[in-house]
Amino acid sequence: MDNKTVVFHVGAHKTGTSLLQKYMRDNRRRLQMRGIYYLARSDMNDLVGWGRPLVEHPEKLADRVSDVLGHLVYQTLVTSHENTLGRPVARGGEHLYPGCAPMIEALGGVLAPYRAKVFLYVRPQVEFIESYYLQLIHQGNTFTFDEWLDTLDMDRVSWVPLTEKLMETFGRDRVEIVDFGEIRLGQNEFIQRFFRRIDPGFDFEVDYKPRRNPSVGDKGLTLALAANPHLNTGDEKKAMRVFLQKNFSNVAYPRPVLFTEAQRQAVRDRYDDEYRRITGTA
Amino acid sequence: MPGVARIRTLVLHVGLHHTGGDFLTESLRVLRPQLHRHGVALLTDDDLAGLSHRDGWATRPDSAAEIATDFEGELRVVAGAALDAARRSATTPRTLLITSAELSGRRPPGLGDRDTFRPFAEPAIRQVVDALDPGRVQIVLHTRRQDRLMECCYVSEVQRGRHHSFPHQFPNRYEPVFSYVALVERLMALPRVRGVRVRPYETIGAGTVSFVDGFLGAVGLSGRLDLSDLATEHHESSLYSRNALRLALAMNPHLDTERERSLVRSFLLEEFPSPPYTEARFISKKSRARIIDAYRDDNEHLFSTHMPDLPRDSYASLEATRRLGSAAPAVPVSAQPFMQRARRAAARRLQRVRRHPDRRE
Repeated sequence: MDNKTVVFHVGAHKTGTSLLQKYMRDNRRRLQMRGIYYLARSDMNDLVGWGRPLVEHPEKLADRVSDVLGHLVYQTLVTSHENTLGRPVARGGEHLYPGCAPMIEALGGVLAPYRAKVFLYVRPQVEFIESYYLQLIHQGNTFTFDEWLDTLDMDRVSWVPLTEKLMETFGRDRVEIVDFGEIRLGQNEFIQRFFRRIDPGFDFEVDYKPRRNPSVGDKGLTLALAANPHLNTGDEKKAMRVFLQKNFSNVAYPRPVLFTEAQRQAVRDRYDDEYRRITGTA
Repeated sequence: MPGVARIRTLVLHVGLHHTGGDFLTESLRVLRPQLHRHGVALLTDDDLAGLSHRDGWATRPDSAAEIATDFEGELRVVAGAALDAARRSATTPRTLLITSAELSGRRPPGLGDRDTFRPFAEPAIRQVVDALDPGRVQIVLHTRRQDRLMECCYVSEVQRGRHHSFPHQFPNRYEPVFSYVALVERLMALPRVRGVRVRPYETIGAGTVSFVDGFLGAVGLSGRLDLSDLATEHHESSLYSRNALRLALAMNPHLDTERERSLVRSFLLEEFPSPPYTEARFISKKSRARIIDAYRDDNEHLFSTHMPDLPRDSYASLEATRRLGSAAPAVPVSAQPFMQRARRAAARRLQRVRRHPDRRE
């Protein structure tokens, strides 16, 4: 199996994971023709979940990977699951993914027999925290940004402990930390670069137009905060989410202002250098 | 204006808001060809909606008096067209039936009714009567028990994008301000009005067909039309459910444009409909009892004077009102003449067969 490659895209959240997952899901056949097997997000929910299934039963993921790569046709298995590292920005955490260590160790064991590549896409803390907050509201939560921010220690939202743990487990040369800012080049280029990173030989054209999933605009956020306390079921929350995304998105309304300019600058001053260092960006 | 001078009877359905007016209008639209054949021309809110000087109709405090004459002219034109349409089916249309919620005032009952119940009913009706100059006027008024009427009117204001409280809309809710008796007396006092026919909306619970058939009595057509094409179910589906109301009260303060209000309204009606969500009944048991009690004497007088065929305590309790919805006959009134006609036709066929047994039908 040592000539087979396992590519594990572990996140982070809010860094284009859905785009890559949807592309691979919709182009499964095309990838298979290049010897790439995409282990779907839906399968990963069972095999990895939010980390617990992986830690408690790593053999299930190991068996699945072994089954796929035992097939002569497939030289590469690619999967993408942003929940692999657990929940981000958890209260009282030491860094952005405070519960990641046992998951990374379990994953290290599963991938040990293979040539593994682990991808972690990241974005600057200000963007990441704002974007993740909007996702929490999207899911039906009701706290304001300031209330949520009060629960976070902004001295402990570094990416470094996570990247160090990944490198320590898989080896520096097998972990790639990528700046999500690449999305500004366009989503096709973003996808293409992902595959070129796996193997420079995967240099194929991407022409993908998935349904956009815009985030809510400032009014959408206000409406969500007003409405969420009155939603009782998952279906109701989903209906509200879809409605606000469709009619009150940041396409039609201004983006919500969450961090103040002073807060934004403080976070940048604190983390910009290390961010550039881990992503190799200028 | 063609036809208008020939209106003998003008029947005005003063559709109080939330008393089945939309359902009735929809039913009358279905029945329009039959109404025409019986010499009844019909004008509904849809026909009036297109009038470019509608703001000249004295249905609200800020109506534009300077274009009142233009409105009356337009009204004569649409009335003439309605009569012409009826004339194509009947030799001489004798009745013009107008059904419109605005005949009782444009805005639903609320703050504007705190001194007088439906203060714009008289000027709105008087203007229509003056414009059309009919021989006589007959008014039909549907009532609804006041606590439910207020509740529905409040929900519809929230649906329009408002977010005030119920007490704000009805500060005098425990005083008998919404007096149907007084309203009927005021309508009776209008020139050329020969009668006010009063029926409780709640009888719709006993069957939509009999409800419509009862209404048709106002134009002398009860039991004379084929009502088989009418909807047999009536839901106040256009009203928010309890959940939708709660959400609207939370969201409305943040909506700035009519487009936003319309989007939210459509979303809440579509995603939180009643049923399956619970109807928006939010008045506490105690407050409801207090409102019902405040109107007890007035309502008893209303039933004994204007609806003597119904129990005088019909609005005295929830249970009594519920009985109104089960009091009507199970077999639609309108179906009876058709069944009789069908039986008579069958008997005639049988007679012919007996007389000429060798002739084939």
